[in-house]
Amino acid sequence: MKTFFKKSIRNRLIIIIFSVSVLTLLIGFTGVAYLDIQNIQRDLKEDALMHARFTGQNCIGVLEWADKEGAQALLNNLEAVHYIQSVALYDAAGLHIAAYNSTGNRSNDSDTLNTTPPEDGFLHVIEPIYYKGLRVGAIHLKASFDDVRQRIGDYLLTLAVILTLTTALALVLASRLQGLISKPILNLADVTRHISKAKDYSVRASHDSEDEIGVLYTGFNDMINQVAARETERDAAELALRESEERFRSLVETSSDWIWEVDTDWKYRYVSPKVRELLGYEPEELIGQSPFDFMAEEDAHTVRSAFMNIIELKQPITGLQNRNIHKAGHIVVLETNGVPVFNEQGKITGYRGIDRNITDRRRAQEALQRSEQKYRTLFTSINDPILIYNQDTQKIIDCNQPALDRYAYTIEELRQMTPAALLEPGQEKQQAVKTAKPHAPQHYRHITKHGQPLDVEIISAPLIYHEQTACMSIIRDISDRMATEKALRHTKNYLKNILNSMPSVIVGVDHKGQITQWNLEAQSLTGLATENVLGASLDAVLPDLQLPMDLVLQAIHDKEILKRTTQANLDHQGMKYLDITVYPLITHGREGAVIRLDDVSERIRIEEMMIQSEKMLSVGGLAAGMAHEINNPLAGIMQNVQVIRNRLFGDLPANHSAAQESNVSLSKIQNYMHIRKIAPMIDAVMESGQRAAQIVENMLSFSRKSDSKQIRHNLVQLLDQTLELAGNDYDLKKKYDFKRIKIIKSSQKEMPLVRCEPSKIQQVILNILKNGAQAMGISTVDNAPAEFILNVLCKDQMACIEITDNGPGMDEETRRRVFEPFFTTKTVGVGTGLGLSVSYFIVTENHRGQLKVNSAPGQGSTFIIELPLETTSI
Amino acid sequence: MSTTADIGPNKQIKLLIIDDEDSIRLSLAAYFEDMDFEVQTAETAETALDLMNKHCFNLGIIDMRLPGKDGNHFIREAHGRQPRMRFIIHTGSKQYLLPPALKAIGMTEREILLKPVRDMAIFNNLIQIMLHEGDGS
Repeated sequence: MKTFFKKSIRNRLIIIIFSVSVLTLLIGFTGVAYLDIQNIQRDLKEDALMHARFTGQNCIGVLEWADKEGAQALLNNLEAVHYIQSVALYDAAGLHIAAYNSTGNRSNDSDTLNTTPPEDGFLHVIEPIYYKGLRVGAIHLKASFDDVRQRIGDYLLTLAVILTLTTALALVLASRLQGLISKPILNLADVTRHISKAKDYSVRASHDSEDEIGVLYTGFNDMINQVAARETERDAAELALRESEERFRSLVETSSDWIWEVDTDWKYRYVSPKVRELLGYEPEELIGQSPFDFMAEEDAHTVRSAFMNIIELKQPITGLQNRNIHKAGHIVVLETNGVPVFNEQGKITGYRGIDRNITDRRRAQEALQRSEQKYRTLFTSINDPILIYNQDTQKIIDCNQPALDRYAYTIEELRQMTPAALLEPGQEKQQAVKTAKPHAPQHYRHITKHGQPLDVEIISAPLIYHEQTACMSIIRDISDRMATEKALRHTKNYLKNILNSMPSVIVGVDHKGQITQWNLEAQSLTGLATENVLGASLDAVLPDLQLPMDLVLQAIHDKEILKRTTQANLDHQGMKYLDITVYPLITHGREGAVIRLDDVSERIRIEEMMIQSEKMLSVGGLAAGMAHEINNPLAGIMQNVQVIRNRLFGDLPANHSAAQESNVSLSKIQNYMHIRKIAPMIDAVMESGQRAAQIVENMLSFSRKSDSKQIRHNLVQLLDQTLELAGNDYDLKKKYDFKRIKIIKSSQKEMPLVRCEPSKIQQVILNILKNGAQAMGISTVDNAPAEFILNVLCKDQMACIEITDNGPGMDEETRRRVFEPFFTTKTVGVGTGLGLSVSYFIVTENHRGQLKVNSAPGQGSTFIIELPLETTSI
Repeated sequence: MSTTADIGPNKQIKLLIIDDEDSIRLSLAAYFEDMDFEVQTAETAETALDLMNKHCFNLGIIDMRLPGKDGNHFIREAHGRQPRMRFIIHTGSKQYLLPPALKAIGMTEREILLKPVRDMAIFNNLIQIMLHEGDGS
């Protein structure tokens, strides 16, 4: 349908007329054709029925006689009727009599009468034959429709030819007749096209009909007349407007300011060519763009929101400064003024305004502001209080916030004051003198409004402030600094005290090995004062330490703690064991180390002692196992020797009787013995046995046993008894004359009683005295007379017996091994080498005390027996 | 060191010496025989107990470590048979402690002599003291 309406009026009319006629014809023809076909078919049926009846009537006789040939002849007559296909005759019983077939074939399906005709596209007529009211037979006629179809076909063909001709006629008529209506309309359309194209309002549509189209023509011509009149009027107005606009445009375009106009979306509708100068763009480039597109980013944002607000309120834009980016890239500052533009309805349609380049003005302004800002910032942001006061009146004119904060005055209060009023009373005169020298910081003490003192440093300088000759004082509060200095001093002292209270020697060195720290213990140990060693090299100050600086430097470099143990004679009072620890330090990137020295002699001594007593215990264990085995044979030896002695020298009856029996007198035998010196030999065996027994017994004493027969005893008394015993000792008397040794005794007053096994302690003392006497027998210090110095005292919850001789002393090796079992300096046979070991064992194991020895070659020896005092004093 | 003066009274004193070590047992026997004691010896406690069936002893010198029954055992048994018999313990072990059973029959530390006994006279003296005590009681 759409395509239909798009067609021209002419074509549409043709289509309408044509289709109406064709449709009408088609319907009429169809109806006629239908009826005619019906008639033709009915004719055929009636004709066929008539033939069947006629033939049936003719055949009555034949049937009567059953004359088949006659019947056949009768039926053959039907050959003249060309549409009959076949005819069959049946008798009353329905039996086949005769048949005719136009094709000549005898159909065999008609042997008996079939009352219901088959549906085979043929017309079957079965008609009974009556004679005198009796049914004498039947005739079956089969007619072909071919003839009828032929006729219908011819008929339809005729109709189609007529229809085609009629249609062609209709088309011709339609195309001719439409012109009557379409022509005037098309004519009008042509005129209209001409007018609109050529703007020629003088043309009129000519017409001669009085119908509706005529009215249309008249109306059209009237309208053209009116339009032509208005057009003329407008042309005149436009000319006037153009002249006016030209005037304004030249005004606008020659103006030094840039004039523009935007719509409500802030898109430029108009821009004056001045923009070329201001922003470097061609005016055309700006049309359709918005002012924000050219502004610096942050301005674009703020100006956009400002404009949105302005347009909402329909306000004018006044003196809006904005930074724009010139096409060349630099910033141009514009001052924008504008007014809203309204249409006749009072609706806002945009803004119109001018922009002026104020870049230079703005720049100068900003520079000034920056400069002022800079100084303002300095003035306000300096954390130090600043006072500005008049040189002549001394009145404070201005100050910064820190000044207010620090002094707790308000600005109004300060304006009533002079700087001198801030000083602590008594400093005013000083102030006057000091102002003479500007720029040099002066130290004062100020008092705040709350009376809090402030230590300050002030620098003053003259300046012109608001056209006044003024002076500016920058005040630095140094209270904190002074407090910090104090705290630092305190910390330093504190650290120094810590270092000095350490029981270790602590020496700090820098990366060059120069001493930076030297604590009290170091001073007391070496006798060197701190002042004398600071800055000196460690090697030079402590050469004995055998701690090469390289090692310390290595530790510093590797950042590893270095530990070693050495022996040194730092205080010149004998070798000491020292633990050296080097801690590398990094303080503020400056390398150094702390060296710690600890005297561990005591610990090492104790360790040695522990090893010693372990050794003895193992000897004791061995001896215990061995004793029985040795004692038995020893008993055998000694007992037998005694029996031998008895039997040789004893005045026994058995001896006499045995001598008698041998015919020898006992005196003769004894004489013989005397000559052969048998008795001393037997005594020697005896003595050897006894010594062996003694050794075994001593060794057995090393085995730990807890038979506590300890009683509280007076040590001084015990010592006296022992001395007496020593004086009478057979062995001592034999080898050293104990009586000739000088004995110096001293003891603490009111010595407490000490729990001990007196005989054992006596044994210990005796042992030490024997050793001392023996040593002094060899030599004495400076060949002075031999002497023992004995001292009994209490020390550290221990009762001490000190026994000092002035013998030859011992070297370190001997001193360390002196308590070792079987260690002896005496020639073989002189001592058993167990005396001091047993003593040591008695003191340490049986009494839980300590036995120590101090000695150096040529300086004698001091043995110290320490026995624990009972903690609960009785 | 001769003690010949003491010989006489020892005639009637019967000693029993038990020690499995020949040199000790025989030397002790020789010594006491020389002192005129009447001495019987045994190597083991068992033999000694047999001897006690035939003899009555005043005193025994007993080694502790013996094959078979030990010295302690023997003393308890011997005391059961001859309550008046006294004993001296003769041992090589310094750790020897007097068992309560022996303390119960009146024995003391004094009656313990450690081998080697330096002087044989110590035996004799102790025997004299012990036997005199016995007489006194």
